Amino acid sequence: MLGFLSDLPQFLLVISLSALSAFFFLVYICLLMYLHPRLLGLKFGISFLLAGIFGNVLDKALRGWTVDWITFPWVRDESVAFNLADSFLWVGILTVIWWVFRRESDIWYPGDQRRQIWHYPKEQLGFSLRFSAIMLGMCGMLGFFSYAFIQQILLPFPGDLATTFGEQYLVVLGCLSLLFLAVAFVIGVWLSHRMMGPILAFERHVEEILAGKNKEFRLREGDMLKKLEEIAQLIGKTLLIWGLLTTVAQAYPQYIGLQYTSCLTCHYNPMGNGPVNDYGRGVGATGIAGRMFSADDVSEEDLVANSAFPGIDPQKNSWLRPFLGYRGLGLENNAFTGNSQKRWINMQLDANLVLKGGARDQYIASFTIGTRPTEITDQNNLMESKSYSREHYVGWRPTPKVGVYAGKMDKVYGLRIPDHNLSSRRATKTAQFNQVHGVMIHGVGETIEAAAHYFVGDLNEQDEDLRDKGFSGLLEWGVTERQRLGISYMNSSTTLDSQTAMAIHDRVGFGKGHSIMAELGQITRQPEGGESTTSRYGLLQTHLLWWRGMWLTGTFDYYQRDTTVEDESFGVGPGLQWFPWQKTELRLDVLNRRIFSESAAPEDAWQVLMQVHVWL
Amino acid sequence: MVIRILLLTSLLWPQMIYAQVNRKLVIERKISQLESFTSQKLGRDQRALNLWVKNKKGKMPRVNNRLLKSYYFLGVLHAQLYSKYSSGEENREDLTNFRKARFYLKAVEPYEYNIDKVEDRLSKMESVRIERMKAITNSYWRLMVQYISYQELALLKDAGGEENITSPQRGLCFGGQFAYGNTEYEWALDACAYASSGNVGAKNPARYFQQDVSSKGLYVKPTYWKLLAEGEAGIGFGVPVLLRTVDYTEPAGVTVESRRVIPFGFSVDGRWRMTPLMNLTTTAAMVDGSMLWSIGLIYQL
Repeated sequence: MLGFLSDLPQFLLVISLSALSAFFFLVYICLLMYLHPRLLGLKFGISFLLAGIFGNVLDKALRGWTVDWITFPWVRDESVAFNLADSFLWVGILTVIWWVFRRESDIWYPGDQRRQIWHYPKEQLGFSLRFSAIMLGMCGMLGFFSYAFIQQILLPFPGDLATTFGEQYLVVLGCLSLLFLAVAFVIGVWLSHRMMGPILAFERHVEEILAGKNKEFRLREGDMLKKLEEIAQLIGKTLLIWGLLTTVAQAYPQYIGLQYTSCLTCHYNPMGNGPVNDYGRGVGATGIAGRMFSADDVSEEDLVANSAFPGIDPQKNSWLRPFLGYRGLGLENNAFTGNSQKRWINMQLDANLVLKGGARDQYIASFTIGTRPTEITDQNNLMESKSYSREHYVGWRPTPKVGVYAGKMDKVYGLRIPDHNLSSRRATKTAQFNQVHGVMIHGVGETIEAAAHYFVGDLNEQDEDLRDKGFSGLLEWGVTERQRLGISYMNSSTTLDSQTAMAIHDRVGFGKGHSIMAELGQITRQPEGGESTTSRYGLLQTHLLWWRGMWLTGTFDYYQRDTTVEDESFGVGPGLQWFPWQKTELRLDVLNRRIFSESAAPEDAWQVLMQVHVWL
Repeated sequence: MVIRILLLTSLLWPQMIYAQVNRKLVIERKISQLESFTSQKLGRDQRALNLWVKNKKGKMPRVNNRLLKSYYFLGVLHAQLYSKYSSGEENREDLTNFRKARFYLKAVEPYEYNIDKVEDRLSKMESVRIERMKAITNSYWRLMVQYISYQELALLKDAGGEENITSPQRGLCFGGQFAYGNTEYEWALDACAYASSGNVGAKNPARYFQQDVSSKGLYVKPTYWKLLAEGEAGIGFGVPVLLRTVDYTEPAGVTVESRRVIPFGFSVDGRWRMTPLMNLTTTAAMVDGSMLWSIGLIYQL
């Protein structure tokens, strides 16, 4: 192709070849500079390739043909001949091919997710085309200038000669301009790739964060926009703080089976219960609830988007989180006998408002107003309700690890299971309507979580002499990622009696969603002017995640009212806990009550409990 | 052109043929070379990375890219050995290859080293393992100890007539279990000898009451287990049968007899793997119209 150069006058030939050489040399130098030192072999290959090209180009330019002077004496076909430049060329080509295809992981940055050249094709193509257009414009201007300049020099020469020189000049100029244009386009793509690469990596990092993975973000050594690493670190820290601060309508301790160890992950109240935060709603929608009634084309992201309270967009509204919840209980006592009693109890109908503020949502205020049955023990009035506020408190977390909360809330003690009929809740006075006013300090570390609660009774509901006053504390230790061992202590008194309770509990997660929880405790009651009694209780609750949203539960409840009397009560039974779709929980529990008495042989009693729990 | 390429590559042919024929040997040799290279040249980074992978504490260490590359290839090579050149029986060698492949690939995963390939390789390896484990069925012998409680149903006959009475029993049971299955399901047969005691009495204790009536027997239960999370937990459905004797005291004019000779029913069971050989197991069963429940431990021999 370059044979036409041999027709050029000597000085134009020299100029053209020099320009071409300079161009290739420039490309070559760029490759040597920008290719990683570990790609030495590739650099050698390119050097050989370039040497081969130059050898042949020189031959063709100077002679119009190449001199293939090396032949194989044992091969008769004379066309099988080559020269040293050919050898260099082939060695270069094979080396480059070998590096490109067999050592690709060396050429591309290790662990490269951005292997493709076009990360954002539209933007990159636009950038490259604009870059090329600028280069073409500059080439054009330079060409116009030099053409005019040369024409002036050639004016004294005869017309034909001037025209021939001018045409040849234009051909060479055009070829070189096209070459520059191509190179400018490639450089444009390369530059845009280098700029877009870190942005792509950052975009993927953000996607992973949204998917719940918070990995460290690191750019390549030679990448631009290193500032993104700092921004990613800042985002990571902020998310961690959010996670700790605002880290579901219902999040139960059993969710250790899903690797959620702390209530703080999903609740505003770090000890659980009450409304859930945005993260908790998301977890509830995608990790807890089933999607039996969700169409296949509804993505998990859509479910998360629908998990918010209707009309509240968490992206736009950062300070207000309303919550509505209802829990109804269908209870059948003495089930499977002729004298069974069935009733429906509206256990809870709550409206809650959470106000939160601060850069890390470190200020929280939660207000709940709702109803409760008038008298839980008075069967005649069970359907009647009266107003009741389960919680109203303000909270402040000066650091992500420590928080102070003041107001009405649940007592800090033991496993906060939702089964208020079991001994661990009933006997310890930590059941559904045993909230108290007080101050709680909560701290959480990597493996330790602790809370201390000073309380003065329920100021709204209780008469002064019946108010529970005292303190309680809980310490939980993460033995492993899937196991939490805890101890609790509570001392409280009214004008009628005092009570000291202590317990040890353990929560263990298995596989995905399966768990066991156990609590053993002792309660000592001292009536005013009477003899003290010591009670013991035990709880074992098991959960097996059958399919998404559906748990098969097992409950073992043990209670000995007085340790000096050998009367013991066991409550055992299976159950189903089903979250068919988000914001809905259905439960069916069967509980067999068996009493081992010193002086009687009572028949077993059966309880069937059916719960409907919905929330917004 | 073709002749040139053939001439240039001719020296490599024997080696290529040998490599194809002895592929497994070649991979093992490569692993050995790569491991010794890694420990010799990148020992410090390797120790830091291994420690972090095991503990996952602190910040991800910055390590030489060559180490990541080396780990990636070690992972790939072990994965090849596991996936393509294994016995398929999940023997010790296969498990070693699987664990090593997972270790190396999991080590480079946080660094996003060839992340697409690493994730793809891990998931393929895992599915190969699951498929193999499903295909492999084993039989197991296990020992069990359980705290068991059930309600004995009896019929009281005296001068006053007949009355259905009950006796809540509780006691301990020792026995064994034979199970056959794979990682997805198990058929098990439990046989547990138990001794229990409990009061028995009429509604009016003055008519008839006896304290600590003892019962001995054999508790047999064939169970189908649906294993979850590769056996970490399981849901069982069984048919418990009680073969027992109850020592009622019968005062003059009074007879007490069991209402069922061989009570049987159906159960829902749960189990959780506490350690690789120890399971916690629970049973809630309807037997003879009353509840039988148990909680205990099963140890695999």
